[in-house]
Amino acid sequence: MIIKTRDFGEIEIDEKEIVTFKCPILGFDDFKEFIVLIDESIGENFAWLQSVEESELCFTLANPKLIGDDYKPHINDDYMNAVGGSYDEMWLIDVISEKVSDSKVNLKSPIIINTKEKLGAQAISESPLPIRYQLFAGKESV
Amino acid sequence: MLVLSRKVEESILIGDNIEIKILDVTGDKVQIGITAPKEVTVLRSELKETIEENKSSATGASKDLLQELFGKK
Repeated sequence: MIIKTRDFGEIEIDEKEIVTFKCPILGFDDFKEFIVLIDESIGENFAWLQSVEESELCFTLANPKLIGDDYKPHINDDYMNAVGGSYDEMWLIDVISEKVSDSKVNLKSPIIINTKEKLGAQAISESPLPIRYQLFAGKESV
Repeated sequence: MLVLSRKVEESILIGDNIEIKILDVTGDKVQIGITAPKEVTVLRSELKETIEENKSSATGASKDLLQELFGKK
């Protein structure tokens, strides 16, 4: 199917790639269907979570690998169940700023996806993690 | 701030149609049941910041900026 996107114009996607958020992205409860887009020129450190239902709705995501191996948020059963019992992909909603050191990621509420079942959720971790974590603290460029 | 003591199964009414009931207390955790009209937003307070960040992400950086900052040169 062809969908309209905010940043990539009209693109053709495989319907099987659509992820359903039974447990919504907080503040965006009306939108359930999203697709993760990766731009080859940027690579897998960043991605877009594009709404299938609303072309202008799109979040930017950061790969948790950027945080390091220590980042292991505890996800409780409610969210695990919402994605079919387990997840195999995780992304962090980010707010990228022109001044790179101001860019932030939400470590408290990662996006978890079960890519087999195509189910996603924004999990609220019970671990004491920051919501506005500086992704590139002190760096002027990356 | 109004401070009230309640036991398990007791509740508090706010206005005509909001009820807050203490369901269970275990250690430092309190389970609370909330009955409120659909149009009333009920939110764990720490979620407010996540909603703000989600909104900032949705209205934030364009692809051009990401490419400029992180694009493969």
